[in-house]
Amino acid sequence: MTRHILILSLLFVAVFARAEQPESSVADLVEQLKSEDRDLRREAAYQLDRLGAKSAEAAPILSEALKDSDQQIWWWSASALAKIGPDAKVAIPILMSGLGGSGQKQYRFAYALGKIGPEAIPSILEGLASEDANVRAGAAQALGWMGGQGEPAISVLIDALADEDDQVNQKASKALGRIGQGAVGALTAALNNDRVRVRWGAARALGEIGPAAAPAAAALLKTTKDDDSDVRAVSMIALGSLDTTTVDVIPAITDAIQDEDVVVRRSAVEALVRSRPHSQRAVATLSELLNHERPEVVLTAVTALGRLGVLAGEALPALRELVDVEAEEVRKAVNMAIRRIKG
Amino acid sequence: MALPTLDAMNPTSMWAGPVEQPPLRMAFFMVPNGVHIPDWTPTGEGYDFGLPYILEPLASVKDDLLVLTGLTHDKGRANGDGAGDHARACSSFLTGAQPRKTHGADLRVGISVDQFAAQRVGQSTMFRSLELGCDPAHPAGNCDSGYSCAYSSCVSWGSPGMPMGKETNPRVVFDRLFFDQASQEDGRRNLLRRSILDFVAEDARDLKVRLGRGDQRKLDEYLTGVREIEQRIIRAERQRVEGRPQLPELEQPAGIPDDYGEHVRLIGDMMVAAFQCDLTRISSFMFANEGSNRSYHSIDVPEGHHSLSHHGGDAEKHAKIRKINRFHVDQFAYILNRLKAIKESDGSTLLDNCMIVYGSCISDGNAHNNENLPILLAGKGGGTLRVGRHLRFDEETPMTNLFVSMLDRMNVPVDRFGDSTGRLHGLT
Repeated sequence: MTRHILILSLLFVAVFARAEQPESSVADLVEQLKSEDRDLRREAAYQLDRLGAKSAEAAPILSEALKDSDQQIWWWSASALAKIGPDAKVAIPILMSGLGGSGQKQYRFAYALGKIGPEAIPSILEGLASEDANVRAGAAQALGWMGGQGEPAISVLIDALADEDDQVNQKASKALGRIGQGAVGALTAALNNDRVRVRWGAARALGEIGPAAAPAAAALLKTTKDDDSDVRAVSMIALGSLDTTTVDVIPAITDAIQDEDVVVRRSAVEALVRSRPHSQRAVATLSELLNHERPEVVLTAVTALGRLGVLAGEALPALRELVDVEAEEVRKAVNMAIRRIKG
Repeated sequence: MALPTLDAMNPTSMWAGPVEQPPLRMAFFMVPNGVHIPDWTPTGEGYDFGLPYILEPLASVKDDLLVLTGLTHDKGRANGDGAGDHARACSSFLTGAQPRKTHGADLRVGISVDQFAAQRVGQSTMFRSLELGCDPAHPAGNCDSGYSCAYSSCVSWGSPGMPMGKETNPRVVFDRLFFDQASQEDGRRNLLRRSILDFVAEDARDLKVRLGRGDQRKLDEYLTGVREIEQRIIRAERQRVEGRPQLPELEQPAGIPDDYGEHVRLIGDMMVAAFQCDLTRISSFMFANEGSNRSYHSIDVPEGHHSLSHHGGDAEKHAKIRKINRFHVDQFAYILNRLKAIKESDGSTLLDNCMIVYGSCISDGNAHNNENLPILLAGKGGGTLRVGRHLRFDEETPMTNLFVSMLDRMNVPVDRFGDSTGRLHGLT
């Protein structure tokens, strides 16, 4: 048996343990990337990507290679440019021209622009004004890849939250979330915007920022009462993500457990879980809600208690009173909640 | 013979000090030919999601896993290389790299995430990693439109040009894990037809009297588990001798009945035991080679899996595919439940200290698409994963972002892996 394993292992090693070919110089690879032979160009782009930042001098030819019709060549070139970073600014115009595509090309070109960093911001802002929604979406996404370096674009991204195209709106929201703490002030202000999609995008971005968005807590408490249920839902998630000791978010969450909209109720459960262990303070209120006249509220309260797990131990007696309740959905949820609380 | 971690092995326990945190383990399970996505993807999101037909067997561990929707393996796509989707997708599954289209010795894809971690943390355990499966790996030959068989039969790659073989024979895995080399060589056990446990019985009795009650129970459970595995292997070998359906050692043509489920569970049990004893912290497991045309008589699907996966929208074929998909998930649920049943030294479960990826490198078996892959992540990652949720990611989010997040948790942080663009948000 041992001999059998040894032979098999040796076979694998013998067949595959070939020494890697010695690396070519960047200059050689630059020449190779100009070849008419597709396979040679592919190999050059692949090797330049492997070299990463060391291939900075190849940035001009890599930029040209972004226009190659072969997917692997433009992909490796975009990846190499992203690794080169700010020194690849020569590629900005060609990368911008590729944002109008979709799928992988838009994704990778936006990523490379983001990694090039602030030098790309003026071009990206022009992209955000494009008539092509794909370009606007790609531009917003590129700003998100910059993280905190994207701060100069905050006000334009806030404007993009009003974009009628859902893709643009969502990517702008995500980008603001990735920019992080520097965007909290503008996002907090945007929670008062007249337009629903702006309030929605702002609340969602604050949720992505998480604990650092604590200064937005008071404004988010207001939007948990927004007329629009989607805004209430994302505000609830955002509140649950805050690490706040100055604003008590628990009453807002327990209110939302009684919301008329199912998505808001689900978001309240998520917020409670995110707020652990502070959300233990909600257990008494949730236990009272087990007697609520609306079955959907009872169901949500049961689910919330179960999701709090051992923190909801004091609710066990109240839950046990419901184990024989007629409604099957509630009964199942109660049994599940009891199991979760008992660990 | 290795032992599980007992309380008595933890020097701090007797002084009421902090209990050492159990190690984190990770494993990757791959099923071939995609899945029937409409019966895989939950409708709800976050905590509020139901388990669709294919995932129903996971009900008992629903709170211990994440369903990850929307992840993409761009490198599984043709990207100018034409046919060969199965081999290409398989080799990119754990590497996130585009394989070079060849069936010669000039293979090139990328190091796989399991091997990347194994090369960095594997020195802490007897085995750096385990590479397991139910179909043998083929190091050479043209298996898929010009792609080497190595691409379609290996998910673990030690380097861009080095596929790892995999072990498919439960007996070999068992001996490798539990039977020391010297004993194997002198052949005593086979000669005397005794159990491995007979050789350690005296030592176990001596040890037991020195252990607390909890440890005694743990030791009993462990030895019983090893005995059970051993007996199942002996049964399987006996079946073979008596001409019953054999465990597959070669790629099986469609229509041959077998005990495939037991094969999966048996090897899964050994992976669990290896994790339990900290013999290794990393494993990969291929339910079958990619493009497998195995038939599933035990669930009344005599047709080949790959043939069925090209369903062309046929409802009858859909029904059979989802049965196969559910069968695979059922075996996976068995393994997760085994992990969940094992208590660690700090009171957590073995599953709590695992990150187990399950999925397919192809989304729909007919379309051969590589976006929106069916992926699960089971285990709590040592408390770093907020489980019991269905998460949906943006289009084109690389699957390798998940690997970067997992490597962080394995204490092997990297900026990039394969075609990653960052970390996967929302896991915590």
